[in-house]
Amino acid sequence: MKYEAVIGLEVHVELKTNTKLFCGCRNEFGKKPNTLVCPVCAGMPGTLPRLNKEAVNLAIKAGIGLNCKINKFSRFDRKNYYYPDLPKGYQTTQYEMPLCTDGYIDIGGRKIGIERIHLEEDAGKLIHEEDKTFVDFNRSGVPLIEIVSRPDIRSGEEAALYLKKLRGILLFTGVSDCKMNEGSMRVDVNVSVRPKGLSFFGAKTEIKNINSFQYTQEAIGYEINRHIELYENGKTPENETRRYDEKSKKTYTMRAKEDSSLYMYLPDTELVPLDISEEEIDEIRKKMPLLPEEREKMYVKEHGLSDFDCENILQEVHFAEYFEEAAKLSKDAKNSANLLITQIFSLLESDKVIKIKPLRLAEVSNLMTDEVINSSTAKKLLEKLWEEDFDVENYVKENKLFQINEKDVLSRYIDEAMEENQKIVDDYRKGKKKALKALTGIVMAKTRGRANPRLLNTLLNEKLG
Amino acid sequence: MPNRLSISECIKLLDNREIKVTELVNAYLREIENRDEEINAFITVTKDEALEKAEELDRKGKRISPLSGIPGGIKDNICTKNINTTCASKMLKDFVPKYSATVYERLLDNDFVMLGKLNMDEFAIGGGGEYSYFKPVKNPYNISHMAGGSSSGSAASVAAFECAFSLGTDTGGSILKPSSYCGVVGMKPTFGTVSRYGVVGFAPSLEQTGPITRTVLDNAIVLSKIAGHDEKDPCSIKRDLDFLQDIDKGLKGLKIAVPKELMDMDVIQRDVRKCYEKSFEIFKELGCQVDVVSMPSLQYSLSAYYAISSSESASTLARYDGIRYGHRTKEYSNIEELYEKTRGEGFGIDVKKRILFGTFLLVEKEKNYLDKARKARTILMNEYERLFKEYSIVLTPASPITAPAFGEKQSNALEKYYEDIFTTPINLCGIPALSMPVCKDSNGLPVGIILSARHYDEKTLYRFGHAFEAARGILK
Amino acid sequence: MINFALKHIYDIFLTTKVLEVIILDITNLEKLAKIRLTEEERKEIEKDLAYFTTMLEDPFKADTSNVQGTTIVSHTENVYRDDLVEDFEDLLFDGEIIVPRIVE
Ligand SMILES: [Zn+2]
Repeated sequence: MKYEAVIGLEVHVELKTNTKLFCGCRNEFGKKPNTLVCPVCAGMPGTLPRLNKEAVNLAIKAGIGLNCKINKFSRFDRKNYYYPDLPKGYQTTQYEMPLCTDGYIDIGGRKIGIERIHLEEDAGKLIHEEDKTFVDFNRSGVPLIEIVSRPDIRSGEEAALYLKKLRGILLFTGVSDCKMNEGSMRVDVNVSVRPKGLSFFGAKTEIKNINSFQYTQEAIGYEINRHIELYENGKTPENETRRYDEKSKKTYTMRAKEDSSLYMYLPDTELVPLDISEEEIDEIRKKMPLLPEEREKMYVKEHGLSDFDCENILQEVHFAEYFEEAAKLSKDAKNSANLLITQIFSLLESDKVIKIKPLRLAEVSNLMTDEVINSSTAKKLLEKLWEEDFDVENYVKENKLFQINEKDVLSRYIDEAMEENQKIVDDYRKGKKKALKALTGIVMAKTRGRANPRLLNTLLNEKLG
Repeated sequence: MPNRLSISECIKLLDNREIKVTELVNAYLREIENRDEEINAFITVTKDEALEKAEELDRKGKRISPLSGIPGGIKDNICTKNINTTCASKMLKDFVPKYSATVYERLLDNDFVMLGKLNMDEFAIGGGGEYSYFKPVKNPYNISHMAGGSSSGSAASVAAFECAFSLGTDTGGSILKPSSYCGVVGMKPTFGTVSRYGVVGFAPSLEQTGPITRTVLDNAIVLSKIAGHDEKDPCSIKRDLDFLQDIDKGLKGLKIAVPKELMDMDVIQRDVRKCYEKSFEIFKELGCQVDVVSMPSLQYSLSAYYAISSSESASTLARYDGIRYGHRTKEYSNIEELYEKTRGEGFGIDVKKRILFGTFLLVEKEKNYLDKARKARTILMNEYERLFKEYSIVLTPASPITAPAFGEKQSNALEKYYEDIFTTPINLCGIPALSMPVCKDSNGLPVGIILSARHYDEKTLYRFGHAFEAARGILK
Repeated sequence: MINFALKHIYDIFLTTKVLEVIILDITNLEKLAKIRLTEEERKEIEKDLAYFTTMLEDPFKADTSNVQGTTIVSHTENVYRDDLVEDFEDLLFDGEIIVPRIVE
């Protein structure tokens, strides 16, 4: 029998605000436990929430970026449950009337529906030790949006693609920094499997808190196979919550799935409803930055970049901004993109900060375009620029790094190289084509990397005959 | 005895330097010392701070506000920075907040003199004043009777001359009812008028803080100082705050509505009915027209109120879990046990009852009682709105009975809750209401009436109350 | 003295027909609300809640077609705060917050 997987994703994303959703405490990661708390986010008696305008704006931005309907009326509800990291005994969220509904993400021709985006607060964090658990409320009240997809995803690959697109949109709209390692982006997956062509839903398992897109893809793949295997053996998967173990690449039972009808929801009457006008939404729409997809189109059309180039540059907002700045100053933006991806990205450290000014990349790239320097010089220059900033043209002049474009000068270097490496020349003539590369390398070394590569190639071929 | 004076009389004396703040404060402290062991109105008396403040004000000499130097008490569910705020519960018996409620800060800004924290029904749930973890509040008119709740200490302290005024909170009659049982004047302002920030409530959609005083004028003076927009409360509104502007205008030609459905109830005690009807006569003599009108939706209010307030309480009181502050049970082996024992020990029976009922409503999805209750609330609001197009106020008794005696066994819950049939519609609709005494019953216990008006129309309530008070004379 | 009222409450405020009594699973409610009751409390509360639930039927007599429910009597909406940091200076908790070890 043919099977089909039905997959839905619930993605929690922390919003990039200065302060928490309902109080003025800082929204920061990695501070000493319980130093970013106040009576409101600690759930002290009698305190009241005060809604952060910026959080609402960012949620609207996300909604616009994800092609959602922004609802005029929305409201906050309380989701009541007990857990030590939940100070009020309920999470303030949007249950009945979410801010955004009915959007989609295009994953290369196929639209994955987004059911809803709602605004809510994060809980604190538990720190487990051998015999006790510590509670840290620094994260309590940090603004989140939850993006709930429709069950339109059919494979782990599609899920990863959806997540990549989603992350790109959220990054470029400035909604979130989407750092999975810091928990500012968290993915829960719902998987079920059914015989292809039928429309009912099979038993559903939920996989919680997966750490990367790669693992999400793997976990889904594993889970689909596990379900199919069970069905093939006449068994049914349990409705349950599972976790993915990255080492064994398997999922394991965590607990039986909570019966969602047992959650106690109630409108939050400490807060007033939201009534967002068309004008307000338009105002935000006008200020929307270009989304990755729009940027990709622009890169291809205006600069002739490849899909590969685009994907690399659009990984991070500051990469894209860097490229766009350099492209403006470049005679050949495609060449700048190549240098950025092949040379500069290889120098990046874990913070992903680019230590070269976009202007310098453009200068290096332009000298290449004008055939003043060659690519190996460009590489050296960029490595040097990573250490310190300097005027590229002056530096090239002072250090005589000009490309050797003169036929006779280069010929002399080639002759010298061939004399000194008779064996390689013989090899080549015997049919060992690889020897050409070796000779090219030797001439390059002799010229301190300055030979015009095209000219060198022509001359070598001529001389080797 | 300066503590027998009204606030407006005190203001005159203080302005003319005929009395010192210290004298006034001492008179109240003496009354508390003499009488409160019996009344139990106070949980915490802040004697030293009160005297210190009084001396400071006397030294300063300058009065920055009508309330400057006026001694008052605060219900113990209103957070007072660095002063115990217990909500009369074992759960919070040692809780000292590091922040203050906006209402308390407003009073401090007006140089009032804080006398202490007032007893109440635990977490403001309950209607008698007997559900305090510490001690039951007794009625100053007859200590074998209850003071009414939940702002029992707030009403009793003012009636017993232990405070010049007090703050109470009202969710379903918690200011109006005890005020009537204790023969004092209580105001439940329009929802959104007084900031809820720092007031430990249980049903945020229904709650308001308001003043309890011995005269109507005093009440308006206090409300003027505690009301006003507060950015810490999302429901706080910007509105007209001149509550005194119409107070002396008289009542000639104004119309009063009396709900037929309530008139028809023979649950109303004979003495209560007599006093209620006497109030019609007084208003008529003042030039009012009193009409009997039909308000059929009143019959839904008790049910809607209990559904809405209980469900909100189940959620709002969830934060008392023993994790961060308040009571935590001594022995537990896992987190579930920590929760269940802490909450089992920390809450009293009435609070538990309300939470469990609310929990039932939150998980009950088939009949959706809450949805019905919210719709009944709308119907009720529409009915009031229609009435207030024609009538200035609606007049009802404050309670079908006068203050019940302690120890009278009630055979079921309903009996206790029917006391709230006149007050609950007021909170459901968020309208303002004034409770004030008319006369005494044959046992010498006060009988009160409730005047309610359209949203934001406290000034009309004070106008009616002030005229009525003058016509009625001293309560004998 | 108080008993006299009960019959009238039923007459006026409740339907006169025999009400179906909803059986509440009180131990389940205790679990959900995280409140451990003593046997005595359970008996009292069980009895009272049964009365409460009969009262709940009242609004079902009302015609609520085309009526929107009211959750809050508020005349405001869109009440916001600017995204500005306000540090709470006081120490909020005395020491670390420790609970029994929680196994996920
Ligand atoms: Zn905070």
